[in-house]
Amino acid sequence: MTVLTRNAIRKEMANSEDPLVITPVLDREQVGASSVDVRLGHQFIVLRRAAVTHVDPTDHEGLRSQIQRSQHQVRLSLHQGFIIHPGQLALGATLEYLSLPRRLTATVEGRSSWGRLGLVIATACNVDPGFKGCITLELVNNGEAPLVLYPGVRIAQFVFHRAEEEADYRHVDPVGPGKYDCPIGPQFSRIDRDQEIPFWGQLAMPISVRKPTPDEESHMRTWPTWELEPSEFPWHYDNRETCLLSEGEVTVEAPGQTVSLGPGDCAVFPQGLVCTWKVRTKIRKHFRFG
Amino acid sequence: MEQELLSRLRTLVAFELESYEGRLRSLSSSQYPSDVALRLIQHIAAEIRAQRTEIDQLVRDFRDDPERVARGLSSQHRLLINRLAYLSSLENAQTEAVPWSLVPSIERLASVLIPNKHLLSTCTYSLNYGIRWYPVARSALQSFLLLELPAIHRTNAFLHVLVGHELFHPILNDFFEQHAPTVMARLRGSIQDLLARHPPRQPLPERRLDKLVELGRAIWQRALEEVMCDLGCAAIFGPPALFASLAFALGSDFDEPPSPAGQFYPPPRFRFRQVLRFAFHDWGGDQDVGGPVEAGDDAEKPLEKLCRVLNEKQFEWAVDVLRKQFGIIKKEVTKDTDLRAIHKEPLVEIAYGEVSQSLPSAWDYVQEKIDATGVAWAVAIDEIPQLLSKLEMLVPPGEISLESDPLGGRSASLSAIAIAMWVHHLRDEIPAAGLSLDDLLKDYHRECRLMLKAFEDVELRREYDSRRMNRDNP
Repeated sequence: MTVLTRNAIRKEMANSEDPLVITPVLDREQVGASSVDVRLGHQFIVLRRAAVTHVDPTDHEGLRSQIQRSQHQVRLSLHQGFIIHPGQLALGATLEYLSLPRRLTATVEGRSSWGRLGLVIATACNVDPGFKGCITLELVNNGEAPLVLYPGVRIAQFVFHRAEEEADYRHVDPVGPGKYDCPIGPQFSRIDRDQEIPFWGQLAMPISVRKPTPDEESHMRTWPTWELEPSEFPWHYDNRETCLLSEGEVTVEAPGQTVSLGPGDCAVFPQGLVCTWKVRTKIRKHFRFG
Repeated sequence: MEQELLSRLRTLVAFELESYEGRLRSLSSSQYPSDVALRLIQHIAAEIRAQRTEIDQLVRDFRDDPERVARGLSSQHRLLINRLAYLSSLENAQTEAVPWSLVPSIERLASVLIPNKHLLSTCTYSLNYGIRWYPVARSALQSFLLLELPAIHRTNAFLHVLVGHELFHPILNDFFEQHAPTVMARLRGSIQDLLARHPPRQPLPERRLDKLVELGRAIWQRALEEVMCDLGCAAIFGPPALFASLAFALGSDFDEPPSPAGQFYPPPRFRFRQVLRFAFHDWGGDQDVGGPVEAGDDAEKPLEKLCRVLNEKQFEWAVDVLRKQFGIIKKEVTKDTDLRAIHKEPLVEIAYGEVSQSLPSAWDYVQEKIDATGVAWAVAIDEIPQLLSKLEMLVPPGEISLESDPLGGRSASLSAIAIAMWVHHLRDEIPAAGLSLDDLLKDYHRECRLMLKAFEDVELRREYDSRRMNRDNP
């Protein structure tokens, strides 16, 4: 992969067909010999210790709530300092909005001036061709003293490479734009949108079984019912299901777990679970999806 | 007042004062998108300190003159309660509560239109744009205006063009002071004629002539003020003022007649018609919507210039979008359902007769205000094609780049950004009709992000360039 130098960068910016756009470039000296310095934006996402026991990307339902509770958005005005403490991880973003042509890729690298103070920037370094938006920067202070960062300071640099073939981040799948659609600030993780995550997280999808309280049971008995004679069948849960077994016995087998249900048992089957139902005696259940 | 009750009043006022101070202290450590909020807090805190001193003095005089102390404490209590609205506004002005990237641009526009005032932008959970001020005598708080945006539309950058309407409200006093006496004299004559000639078709809301005249004045002033603010917004932002007005009014009745319950607001259709007629008379001046207002000279009209510039840069589609949108609006204003609603009420009919007479001088007044400030949308037309090019690449349209130097650039104008964004958005309106609601919203949110980023970059570049210029040329 060739690295674009100053003149090549300027030519790409002046290209009338799918130009490289970096905006705003407040000072032309940001364009160096083989990179472009970029600045820190106004917005930050601060991770905080909260009443969240874990963050599980396969927990589709709970993940949004886990992320919201463990991350907090902050927006600073110009001249206001953001203090990052030793060992702390915070998400920032570039001030500059990048529009990468389909023929170029970019890598984000920290400036050594900050690195020598212990600040590590951008653990996710690669920017795909066709990407449009401000780049989220993962900021970690590996030093021994808190650092004060100000919106607008030059924090990182883009290094551009010519791709062998054209590609487009925004059309990686038939559905539409990639996960991060023209972001203008740091973004919460969207790892749950990786389509294969539910598959890899099978073992982390526990089926919960318990006895409901009398009130809960009365309420569940108002739900729709479903019956089945003894049989065996595979099943995939597109949606979470809660059910109350009122008759019969069944064993549900999933990777890494097997549960047996009898009359009076309330079970919750998580979204994405793949399992096999083995109905031993005729069952009747009250159920609800979602 | 009995001594026990006086003592309770003293406790009440002391408690409220302490609570107010505590909340103010807490608000002073919050994040705000500019320093206006902190300046407001400082002024309020100074007034609260002065108030505390007065209350302490009053309490010391209690034994000597309990009646005077009672009156004094009641007065202090009222003063404090009157200031409660500021606490609410400050709560709603925090960074996370407002479209923070837009606030510096709004403040800059306000500083040009309403100099010597500070504007605090807030978001409230009412579906309304508004501007408030508290004429408290001898108070530094008079220099603060409170702009209210609908919180539910916080990130809806397209609608925030309507801020231009609100910024005109505080600068119309001179016009009404000048014209109200003449209008009231004519209203009196018309209402007397109405009462003398025959009984009105509908019962009148009042029986006394002076009250009817005052009511007529209120109807006249409310209608004219709203239209003048619409015209002001259109003079600043151009076509987006009309598009945003229409969009915001879509959920309501275009022909809702003025009424006490509606604070005598004019029907939306009436307002669109006047904006089309005066601010866009080169496209709205057909006979069936009131005729051209000005004979006009040979100078190119703004909409004509916009079309020419867009055509020259091969943005014919943008011209088509504009013509189509104006066609939709013209179709709406050729209906007379609002006028029929107005003519049903004799007093409203008389008042709106005065509105029609006042409109030409009202438009002149608005134009004078705009000409004095240099924020007319027409001056930024040449920027629009480049901004549309950026939008086609999904790049925020906040910067005008030099053709010969991609690294050289300057901030785009607010009106040019608004026009480019609206035209770009409306282009996709029909193809988007087949999209699911989720996809529709995804596209809309993306456009809002690009617009807000553009506004953010405009102010940042202005400030950076200004500092660099000062550094290089001390």
